[in-house]
Amino acid sequence: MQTTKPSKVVSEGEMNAVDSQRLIESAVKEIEVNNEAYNSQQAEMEKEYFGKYLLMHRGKVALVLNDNEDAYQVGCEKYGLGEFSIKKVGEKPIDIGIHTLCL
Amino acid sequence: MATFVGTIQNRQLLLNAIAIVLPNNQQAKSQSFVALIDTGSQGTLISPAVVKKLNPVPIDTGGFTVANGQSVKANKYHLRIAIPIETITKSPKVVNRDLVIRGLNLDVLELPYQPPDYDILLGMDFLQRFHITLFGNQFILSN
Repeated sequence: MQTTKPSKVVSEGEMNAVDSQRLIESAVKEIEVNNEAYNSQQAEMEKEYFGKYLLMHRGKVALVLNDNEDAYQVGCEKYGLGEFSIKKVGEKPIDIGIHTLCL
Repeated sequence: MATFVGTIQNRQLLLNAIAIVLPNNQQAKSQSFVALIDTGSQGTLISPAVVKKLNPVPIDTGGFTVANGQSVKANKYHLRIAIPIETITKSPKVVNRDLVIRGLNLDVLELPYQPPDYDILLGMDFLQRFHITLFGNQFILSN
């Protein structure tokens, strides 16, 4: 009888760190896809939904909401963390005051 | 009224704030960090050290304007930022002091550099929910 030995014993902490890293990588990819889709239709979105929050999944607008908290809750329940992004329509870069001099 | 009283150190308004990763698919994680009160910043920001310790999952990218007018992109996270606040209830004979954690769920951006003295920059999106008083060498946050 052949037995296979695990190449490395992974602790629970290490496992969580690996899972967490995978989740972050998946979120970054999802954000890239959604940002690309948003940028291609930014003008229309700003005309129609200015100031609202878009819950985006796989390059499509899944839901338009008034509040970022609601968008986050719905996103987590419907798709799971790392599988959606939230875009505020018409959001401008923020001013961080004196800290800009450190950049 | 609930208040937080801090001491101005080295002409900076520093306090301990707690960053909390919201419990959803991930395990809820929280940790206390030194925070700087900055009324000159429109938003709340976290340092790379907070991101390294809590491993939050980004929800979008955002940007901030730098000195030359261009904008820099950064990861955006949805976190709960909280501070300890003392509530004082007085009866004729007893004064009760309770420490509670008051916080807000915010979209925060990651700073692209590590500030030496603090890890969280509390900007106006957080501070607009509080009264801020500066008096002598003390600062008071109340709500």
